[in-house]
Amino acid sequence: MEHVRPSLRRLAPLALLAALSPTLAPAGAWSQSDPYGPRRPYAPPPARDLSRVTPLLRVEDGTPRYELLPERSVSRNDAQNSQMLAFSLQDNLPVDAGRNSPLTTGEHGGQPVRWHYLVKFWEQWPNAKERPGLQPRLGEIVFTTQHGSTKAPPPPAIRRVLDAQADRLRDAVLAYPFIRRSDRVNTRTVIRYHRDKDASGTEVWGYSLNIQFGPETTNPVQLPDGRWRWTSMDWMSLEICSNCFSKLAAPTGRYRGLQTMGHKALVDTLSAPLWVSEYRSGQGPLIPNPDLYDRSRPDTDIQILVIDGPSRNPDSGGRMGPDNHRARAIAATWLTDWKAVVDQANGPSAPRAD
Amino acid sequence: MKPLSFALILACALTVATAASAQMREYPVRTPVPSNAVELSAGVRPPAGMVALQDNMPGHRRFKPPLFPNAGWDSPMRADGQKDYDRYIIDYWRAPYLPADHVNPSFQGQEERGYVEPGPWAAKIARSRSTAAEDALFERRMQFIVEQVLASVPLRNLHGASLQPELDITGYSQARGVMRGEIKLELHTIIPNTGANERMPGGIKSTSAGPAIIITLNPDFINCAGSAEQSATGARCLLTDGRIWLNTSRPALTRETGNNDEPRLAINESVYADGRPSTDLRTVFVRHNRNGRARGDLPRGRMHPHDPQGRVIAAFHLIDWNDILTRAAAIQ
Repeated sequence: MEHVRPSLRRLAPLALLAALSPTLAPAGAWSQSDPYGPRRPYAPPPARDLSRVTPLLRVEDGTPRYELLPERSVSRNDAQNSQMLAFSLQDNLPVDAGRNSPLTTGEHGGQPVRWHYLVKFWEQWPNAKERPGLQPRLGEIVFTTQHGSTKAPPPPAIRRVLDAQADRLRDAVLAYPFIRRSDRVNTRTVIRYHRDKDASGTEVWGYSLNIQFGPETTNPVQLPDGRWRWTSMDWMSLEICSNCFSKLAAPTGRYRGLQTMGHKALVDTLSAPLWVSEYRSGQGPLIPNPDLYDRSRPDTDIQILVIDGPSRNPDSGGRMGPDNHRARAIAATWLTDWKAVVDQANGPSAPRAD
Repeated sequence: MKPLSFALILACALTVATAASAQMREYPVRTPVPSNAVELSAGVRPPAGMVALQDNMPGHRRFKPPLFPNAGWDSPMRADGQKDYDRYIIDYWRAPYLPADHVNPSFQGQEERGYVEPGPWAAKIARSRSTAAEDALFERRMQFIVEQVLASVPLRNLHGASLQPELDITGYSQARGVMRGEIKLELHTIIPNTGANERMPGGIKSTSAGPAIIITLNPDFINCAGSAEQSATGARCLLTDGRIWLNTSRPALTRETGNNDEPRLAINESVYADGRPSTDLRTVFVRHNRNGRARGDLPRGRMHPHDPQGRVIAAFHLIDWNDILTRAAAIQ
């Protein structure tokens, strides 16, 4: 206390008293910290230990075989049993899953992509086969698109244009070997046409193309080409929706160059902004642009395309193995170059897709 | 030095506490209690020919005398036979006699100067079919209404609450529509040590919920259940704290029967299909809401007129709405 002035030194006990007794300290009511203010960030979690992973045993017929994880007190999950993924021995998660999932990039990015390890697997091993010892039992693939609505279809001239677009979209998915060789799954495609309207009332033609995967249940019939057909009850669908205004949701950045809205992929060929603030004066959250559709273009063009794959609610623990029809559909959703497909379907005179 | 300062601070705290409690006095109730009043347990109906003894009547076990004259059980009767418990607050604000920073020992923070956001206030303009010129005209009118309301005596020198006017322009979505909008003046109650209070240049800004005056321009619906007083320029809803202002020669209000055969005033929607410009103000509905204390403190006459709820009630009754809205409708 030698450097303090003598007059201040005499006041020091008073300052100490005021500091120790909060009831007597003046102006305490408004000087407290803001409870709604920004919180102190938590310490970042420690990095995952990826030095000890299950080793790759061999690659046979385009399929990796990793060592099985050691038996633990809980049984192995589907991803672990498949032996198609490298697992970290620290947390028994796939190497690219969990905390190592990449984040979406771009303007509204930062969301973790939990299904990335499935996409990465099928990108790296597109010709991977079933597990060792499994007898492949390939299901029927219906290559012609069925009309799945009781409503009257659009006029023939319109319908021809829409069908040509839909065929391109369907073929882009059905071309994948991992989709064609999905084990014990029937595959078919259903289309429903609709007249779509944005919030300001501009009308265009749209359709919802559902590529459906029905797992094996009962009544097996072998077809002449050697494939099988079953009575499938629960069809899982990869829904590709052209010009579906109501499918637009909050943007969440980009993954593999595609715009994302949560688990959905989005492609647009519009020059107008897709998202605007709720109020003209700038307040409020982002909403889909009410003047979305360009009324100067042909009303059969694909102006927005939403690919709603089955990646909704993927387990964050990376428990889903890559070798089932759901994982294959997720991979097809994100491996396809939808921008190129849309550009081909729209023709050379339409604006390029983004 | 140390014991002296301790005693000084202690003495200051004691004087403040005693002075505050001494400022409020209680007035004995002069109006007699009905002779057939009977004290009942909660939820029990009085027998035939008797009425329940309310907690603002002398003799009730929770009775407390009013803090203001002609309040509580002494309040005057309204035309519909109900006691007008708001009247003492309205009468007080005709000629306020207490200092603006009068301490209410029951509610801390009522003596604090409250922040009032200075104009012009940013309106939230919805994306509708209305044109920019229509929006701008409506915004000018709403700004004018807010200016006038904030200049009223109960809201002029605001203490105990902060106020940030909210202007919403809804526009219209049909091809031939009528402009609609809403002004919300919520008095955010200042409560020390609670919530996110912030010191601003004009006073304290609070985020606590509070009573509000809500002004709806060209409403498509009004809540006017119960008895209503109709006049040449509009109607006043006695039960639901609303007031409708009319600027049309067409029949704007219809009488309906509600759920329990209760009379109800409703807007006649064809009043807007009169071919006038979409921005014309045909009807304006002004209402205020009440917080929970209005149910307990007001009938006993124990709500301070400086309370945010008291200011809202007084502003609703004392403002010359016909004058303000007529001038707002004339703005072009």
